[in-house]
Amino acid sequence: MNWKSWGISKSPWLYHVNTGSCNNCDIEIVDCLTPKFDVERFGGKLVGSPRHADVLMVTGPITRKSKPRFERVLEASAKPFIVAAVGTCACSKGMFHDAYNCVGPVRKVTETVDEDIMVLNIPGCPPRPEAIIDGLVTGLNQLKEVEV
Amino acid sequence: MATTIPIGPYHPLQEEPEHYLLTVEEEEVIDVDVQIGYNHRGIEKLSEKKTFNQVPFLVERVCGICSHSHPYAYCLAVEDCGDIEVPERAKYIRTLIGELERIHSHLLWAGLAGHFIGYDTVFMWAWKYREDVLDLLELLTGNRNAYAMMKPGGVQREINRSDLEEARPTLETLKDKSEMLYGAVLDDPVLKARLEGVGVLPKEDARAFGALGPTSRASGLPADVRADFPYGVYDRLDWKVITREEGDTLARVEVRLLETLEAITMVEQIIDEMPDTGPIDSEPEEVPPGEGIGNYEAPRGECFHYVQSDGSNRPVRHKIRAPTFMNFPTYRSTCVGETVADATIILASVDPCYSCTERAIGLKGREGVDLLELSKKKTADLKADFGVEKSPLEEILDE
Amino acid sequence: MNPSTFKEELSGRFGWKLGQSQESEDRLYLNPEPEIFEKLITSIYEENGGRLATISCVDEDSQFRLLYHFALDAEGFMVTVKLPVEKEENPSVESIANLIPGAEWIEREIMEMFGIDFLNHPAKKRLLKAEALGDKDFPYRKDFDVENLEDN
Repeated sequence: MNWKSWGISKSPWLYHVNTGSCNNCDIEIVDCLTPKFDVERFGGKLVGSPRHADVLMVTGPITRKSKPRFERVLEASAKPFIVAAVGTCACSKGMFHDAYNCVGPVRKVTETVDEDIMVLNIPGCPPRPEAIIDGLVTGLNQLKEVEV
Repeated sequence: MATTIPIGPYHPLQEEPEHYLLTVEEEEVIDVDVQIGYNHRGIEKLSEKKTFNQVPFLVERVCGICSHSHPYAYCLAVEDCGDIEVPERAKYIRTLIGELERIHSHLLWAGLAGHFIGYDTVFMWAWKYREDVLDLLELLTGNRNAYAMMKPGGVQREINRSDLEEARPTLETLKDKSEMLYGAVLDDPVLKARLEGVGVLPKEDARAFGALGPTSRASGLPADVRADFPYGVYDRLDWKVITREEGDTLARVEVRLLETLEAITMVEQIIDEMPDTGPIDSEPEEVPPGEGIGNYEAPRGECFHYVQSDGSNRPVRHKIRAPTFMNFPTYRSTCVGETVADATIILASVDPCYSCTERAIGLKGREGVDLLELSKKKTADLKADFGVEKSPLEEILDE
Repeated sequence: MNPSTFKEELSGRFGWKLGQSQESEDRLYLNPEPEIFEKLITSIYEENGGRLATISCVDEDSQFRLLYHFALDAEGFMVTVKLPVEKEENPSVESIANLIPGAEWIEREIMEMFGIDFLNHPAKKRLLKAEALGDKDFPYRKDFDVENLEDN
């Protein structure tokens, strides 16, 4: 573990990027902030700019129109950061695997921008808020074993 | 001099990517344009590859918040095409899930609207009580959001009477809390000042744009698909269509909150009257050639599906029109002439759902005026108007 | 009023040009001659309080067919007016967006997805189609080649 992976795994600041999802996953991400699930216990909070973010929470199978904008968000995000692909659509395009306008999944697009970006997959349709928090915490614990 | 303020496509307040371009002069909005297309996944084209029974799972993912509306409208269209009967118990189950979804969607919107105007307490409370509805839906159907209950001809799964009885105390609490929320919103003078008279949609404009749902009912058009084209068991329940005449943002808030209370009453009636035995699926063998139209009152308005069949087991054409598609263009009528600060809540008061819509132009300000300067100047003017003295800090800074 | 009486009333006005129709308890489908199309739409929208629900477009192999769906909320039935459009180099039809502002976005979507031009439309520009797809790519047509799109 180096100082970068230690830094991200403590109190992750989350930035939410919707690349064309049906909103189920987005509502569940916002649900994580509400009193019942409360991700702020772990220090996580939603921030307003990718430049402040430690973890980019990406939902949706990347649609053709949002792909260039998503690439710009990746370039704008301050390193080090990881990408969390939330939901089945972001992990593997899911139901939209044969849709003409979907050019995801997230890993495919991040690899074209920069091969070193790490992608954390949280599947589910939509993943429950407990699953999102569990996925984040597990992923960030795994991050402590690697050098970012 | 006109300035353009872009909001989006990725913005901290927005859940979905959409690009608004507000053209403003000083603080007044003179034009709005919306650029969409980030959520378009080509679902109508995908439907043509799926069989009739697979399509409800696909259209559930058109939108997460209205995830019962689209499959219901689709099933109504297929049943219209093939003259397929739906058993009684299935109708009760469908209506029950539909009204529970309406409650959770309106509470979600109430929370987000509070968040947009800075009332995070309303946001947290509304979403906290929404969790009870989601738990109830999970108990009855198995999932919080995408229920997978619909199929042409009936519903997929049974609902137990014991689970329904468990719902009663939850509904009692929900009624109390919704009334509390309603009272809190209407009694608050600050909320009233921010919402009353803001973003008025006149009745003629609502009719011309084809506005739907609470947006049109708040402007005095009493159109509600549950009353005009009855489906499910709405013709047997005791309920009323809620309208207001003013057409401003406060009217839209009131219509939604009152509909939540009405929906809770309807759910209680359904639990009382639902038969405990009977088939839940009429198991249609085929869909004969023809066409069918299905319309359903989603929380945001009328959800319209058109299905054309040629006798095979896949639709030839499946057209989906979600309610926000017709409510969108009303921005041109409601936002123009209002201030920038009000623009967000007006845009949000239509309860837009862009994932539904898809299946914002800039007049680029050539000499952009620094908004910060304009804002400071306006504060200074207001202070002078009210005769407010400068604070000691300002005295120092002005030197 | 129900679909049958409404159809009788329209027949009285337009005669044989109203064309064939199919009716049921709460649905009425009309196939008028193109020359009375605009007057028919005006009659349904202005005189009978019809609300434009949407416009569907179906790609039947030899032609397109536009279906204008109107909901008569007060009476409780839906009227659909069908209009065939020839599939030629630049298929076109007159726009109704100047009469019914709500039709503007609907026609924009059909223009970019099917390639039918709506004449005298107030704002012809893209709505949903991604910039990566060209102006001559019409995704909802049956012959649109999905397999060989780039980036798929």
